[in-house]
Amino acid sequence: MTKTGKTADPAFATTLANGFAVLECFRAGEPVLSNKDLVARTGLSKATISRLTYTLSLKGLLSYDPSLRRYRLGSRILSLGYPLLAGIPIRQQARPIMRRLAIATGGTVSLGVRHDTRMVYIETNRSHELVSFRPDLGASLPILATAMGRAWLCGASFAARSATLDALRAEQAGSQDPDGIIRDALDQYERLGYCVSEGAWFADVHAVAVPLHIEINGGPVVLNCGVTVNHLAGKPIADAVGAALLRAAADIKRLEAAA
Amino acid sequence: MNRWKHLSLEAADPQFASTVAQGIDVLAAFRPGESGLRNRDISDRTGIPRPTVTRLAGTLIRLGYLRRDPSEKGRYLLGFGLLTLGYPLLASMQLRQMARPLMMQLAREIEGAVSLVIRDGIDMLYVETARANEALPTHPDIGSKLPMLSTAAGRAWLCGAPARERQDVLNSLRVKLSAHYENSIKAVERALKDFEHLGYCGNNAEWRADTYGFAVPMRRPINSQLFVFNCGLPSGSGRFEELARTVPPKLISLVRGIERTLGWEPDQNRRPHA
Repeated sequence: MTKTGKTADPAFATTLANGFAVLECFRAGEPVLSNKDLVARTGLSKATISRLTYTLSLKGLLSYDPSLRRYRLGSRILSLGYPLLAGIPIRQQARPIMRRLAIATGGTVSLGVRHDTRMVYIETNRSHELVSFRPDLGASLPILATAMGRAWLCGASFAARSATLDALRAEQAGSQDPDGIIRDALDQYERLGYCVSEGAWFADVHAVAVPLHIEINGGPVVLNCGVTVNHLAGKPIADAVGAALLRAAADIKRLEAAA
Repeated sequence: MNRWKHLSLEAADPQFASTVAQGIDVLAAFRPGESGLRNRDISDRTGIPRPTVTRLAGTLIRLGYLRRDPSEKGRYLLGFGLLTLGYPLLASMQLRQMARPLMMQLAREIEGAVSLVIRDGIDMLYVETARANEALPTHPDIGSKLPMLSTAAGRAWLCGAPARERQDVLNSLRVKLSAHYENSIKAVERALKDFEHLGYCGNNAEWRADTYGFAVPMRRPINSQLFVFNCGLPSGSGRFEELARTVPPKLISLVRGIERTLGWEPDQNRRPHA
């Protein structure tokens, strides 16, 4: 993530961006980092990092672990984002429907929205615990390789889809063919009413996804159901889950109409 | 509430990056249940001058932590970047994954909600919830907060926390929320005493008239974080005294079971119920 292009703009608060760059260094698999790690990852000076970690700790966004002499993300990071989630009532309303689908399919059922060039989970309900990927609030997924991302592309307005595809092309520099993927996805969506990804992201998860009628960030909220290959036992995911997914989407729509 | 004019201590501290702190205050100005904030609202709530808010908000938009409201010009919304920022913290709490099926099972048994709660400054914060009763008026949800002194979860945290940390938090509460502190401290002191023989804390509709709570802290912190398990029930589900006989033993056995799975030795000489 290069922030260099942004620094020339006097309206851009570089110190603030650096503060967030520190927070963005943490990963699910690397929840504790030292000042030295942060220097290496951000390219900022030791003095700058120590000033930033000090301030972020006072604000509750980092928490210092004295026994490890390292930082973790602080609990405040979760409460800061909560008003955003609270403003999306479909999360609460759809919960029982998502729960039923998760139990019926033995899969993980999630809602996601697009954020820049990724999909972000805003709600999830699981009936299995995967090792490779832990679907959870705030997890982000690529757009082109996932059923959720493809369903978003199919449900988005022409303008939003074009803008996102342009951003993806710029980002990927030709490693994947967005045009081929979107053609196939649209064709699939036309025939089935949902999109499928069979192991294109994580080899051991197959998923189906459908765009809902609710719009956020110029595109649909997407309902997704992922099932492990083991659990599917050779059965195509479309046969195993497709119809149940469409029923759940219809139930959510009825719920909205009633509200 | 012109906080920035009063923070002379922080402003004078050369180690303090005030631009970072102000940017965080801009984000913290947003509250659940509101549909967005304008420049003026943010400035009023934070005490940061409007031109500075404009600059900070512009930066936060480019970073993905704020958005412009497409339905109303000049209004800001929180950005989804905030959710991805919190993901590593949630995903690294292995206790959540481990406890989830047990929490769901208990939620069904008591027809309520079972949650995992940690401290967030002087509040308590949900990090996992299992609901078997969507009618529960409090809607426990990951990232939402609870007050510390008037809830079972907050009191249980105070009971389980290391003495020094508990005292620090109580001192902060007395300074920052003095009226709330004065009103609640008697009940909290009673809860601390009762906890010694009960092994749990209760909340008899003291926080909200429509909700009862029961909570049990884990015996010690994990990664310097003390986790509390909490049961929430609609107050319409029965008399508090009756629920207090049936629900807490189940919750205590859930917590002790998880501690055993973690390989913790049973604590013989502390609490009879433990």
